[in-house]
Amino acid sequence: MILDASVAGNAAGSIDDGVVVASVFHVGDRRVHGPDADDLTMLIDALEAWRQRGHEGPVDLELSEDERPIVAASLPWLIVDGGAKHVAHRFHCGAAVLVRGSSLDDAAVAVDVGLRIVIEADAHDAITTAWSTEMAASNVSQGAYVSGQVHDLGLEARLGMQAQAGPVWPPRGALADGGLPEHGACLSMTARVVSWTRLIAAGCPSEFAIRAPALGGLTSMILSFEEGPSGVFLHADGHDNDVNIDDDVQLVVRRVYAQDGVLRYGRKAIRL
Amino acid sequence: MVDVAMVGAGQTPYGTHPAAMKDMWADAVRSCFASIDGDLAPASVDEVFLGSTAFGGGQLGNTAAYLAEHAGMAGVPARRIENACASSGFALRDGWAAIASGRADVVVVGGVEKMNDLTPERKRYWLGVSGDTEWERLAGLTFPGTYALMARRHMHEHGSTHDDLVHISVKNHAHALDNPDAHLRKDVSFEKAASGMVIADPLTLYDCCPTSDGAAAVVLASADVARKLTDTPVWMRGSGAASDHLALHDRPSLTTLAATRSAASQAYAQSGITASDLDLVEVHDCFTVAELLATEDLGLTERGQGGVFARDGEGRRNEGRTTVNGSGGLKAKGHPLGATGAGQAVEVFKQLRGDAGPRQVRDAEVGLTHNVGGSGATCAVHVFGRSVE
Repeated sequence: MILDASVAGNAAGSIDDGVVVASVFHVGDRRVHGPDADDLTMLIDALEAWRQRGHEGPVDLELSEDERPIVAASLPWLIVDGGAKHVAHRFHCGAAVLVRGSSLDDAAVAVDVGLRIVIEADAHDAITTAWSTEMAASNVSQGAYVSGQVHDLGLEARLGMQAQAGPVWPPRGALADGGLPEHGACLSMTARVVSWTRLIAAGCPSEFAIRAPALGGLTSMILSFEEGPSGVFLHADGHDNDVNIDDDVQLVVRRVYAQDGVLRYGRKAIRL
Repeated sequence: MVDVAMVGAGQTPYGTHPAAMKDMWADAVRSCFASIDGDLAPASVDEVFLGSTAFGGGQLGNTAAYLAEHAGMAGVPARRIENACASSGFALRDGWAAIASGRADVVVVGGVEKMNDLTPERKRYWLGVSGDTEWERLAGLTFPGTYALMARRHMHEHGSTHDDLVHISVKNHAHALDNPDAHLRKDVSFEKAASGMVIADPLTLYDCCPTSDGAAAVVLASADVARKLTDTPVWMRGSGAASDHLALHDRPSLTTLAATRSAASQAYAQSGITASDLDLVEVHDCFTVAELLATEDLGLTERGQGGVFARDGEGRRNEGRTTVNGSGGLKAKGHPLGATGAGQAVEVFKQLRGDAGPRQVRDAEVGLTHNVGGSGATCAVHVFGRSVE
């Protein structure tokens, strides 16, 4: 099957009993993960594609204990593991959500040539090696430290864009009158560029210092949401850094960085 | 309230120092007390207010006690005030308040930072700890990045250009040539500054201040004490301070620092001085765009006209409307974080007493200091005059 639609920076296609997504990145004809993607982000993207096609509800997922809170925070609409009619599969640089009992010949999944982003083998190897180095337990971050506890407590806002009533994002701990803030709706996953900068490799924060050279730097953006709040986000996947003020972008789940042997996920932006 | 005056001021040269933090601080204190016309010993002051981020963490706790003891002030109540790059601007405000309220008669206010004795990895860590760690930092932003976002937005909204920022860089480097305490004393041409290596687009190397070692100290005194110590006190006529959202994305605008506007408004109201009265200002130009925004937020020019102000040379010493960063500013004099606000006061002290040598601003009667923490989360503004009213 040929995937010829674009979803969350991936190629996607519908089949009779489900939806399939796969990475658009290729080294020659070989499909590879994008610079910020992995099997878990592909799974989340497949579930998001499934929802965009009108589905929601319980899905059986095979998740590790580390992955479960990432998926739950990223897809607050999803009911996981409910003896569901649907089940999510992962395959090489792709994922599918299928009706239970059906099967997918993932060897037959291909991305439409027009959607492919072809990268050099050396560039792919460099980013893969950089992630591996960054994720090693011996790589103690020299960047500003965010504890696992602080990171995990912010997951609903970081991945699900959960806002405080107002709306205020990210949520605060107290109101100006001393009261307790109430939960509000989640912000939309699309936004507009207010300003942007490209940090060259030498100017990047040290927690990104291993990967930034392989990407030629990082693009960071202030984004404004239609609900009112603004936020700051990195450009996803590093392949398309040509952004402008007033561009519309979509937020997708990607790897952000690794610290002290733990991989952190967050929302990054891609141009619509 | 009691009137407050600066009666002494001194600093170390800024740059890459061979001396340890405690020795730089002692040097600054000695220089400060040597500048006092009358007799006053460090041990006789009532309190010490010390600004520092304690960069490097070598003496992160009880820094003030450690440093006070090393500079002849053992036993004097001392505390460290930390507000990132605005630490000693806020120390100045707290010292002023201690005297204005009548609680103290004479205090030492200062700051110190030792930044260049660390490995590159440790230095990068400490340079990042004053921003919004949980959200901005994880989106790749350190201060070059946040100020680059402000610069690009200002260009978009108001038509300013990178050339406008280059004018600021060239001016401040030229001013620093006459300052023996400046970190970067070199003539920088427009062409060179315009073609610097990009750090955070659109900002280049020549838009960024250096990381400096240095210390600065001033002595503040009540009016009665000041008049006994000198015939030429420099009066602190207004003090303002404000905070804002830590993260840039939480602010309504990227092209103005609300904390600067609020702090300046307080200082102007208290002093009865307006922006048009100012002969010189020392503003917080950690990046050139920060000076551009400061000229607008302090009222030296209209909002959106900071680029034109720079382009027209309105901040050039003894040439423009108001001398902006006649010392060279953070850009060229240097930026030893916690010492910067106090160092600005040292410069104003020298200028208003006519002691600034070749960089003297003609007929200087009124000056202002503007000290910002991070990307504008905190700001302290002070107005000084040769006369008490």
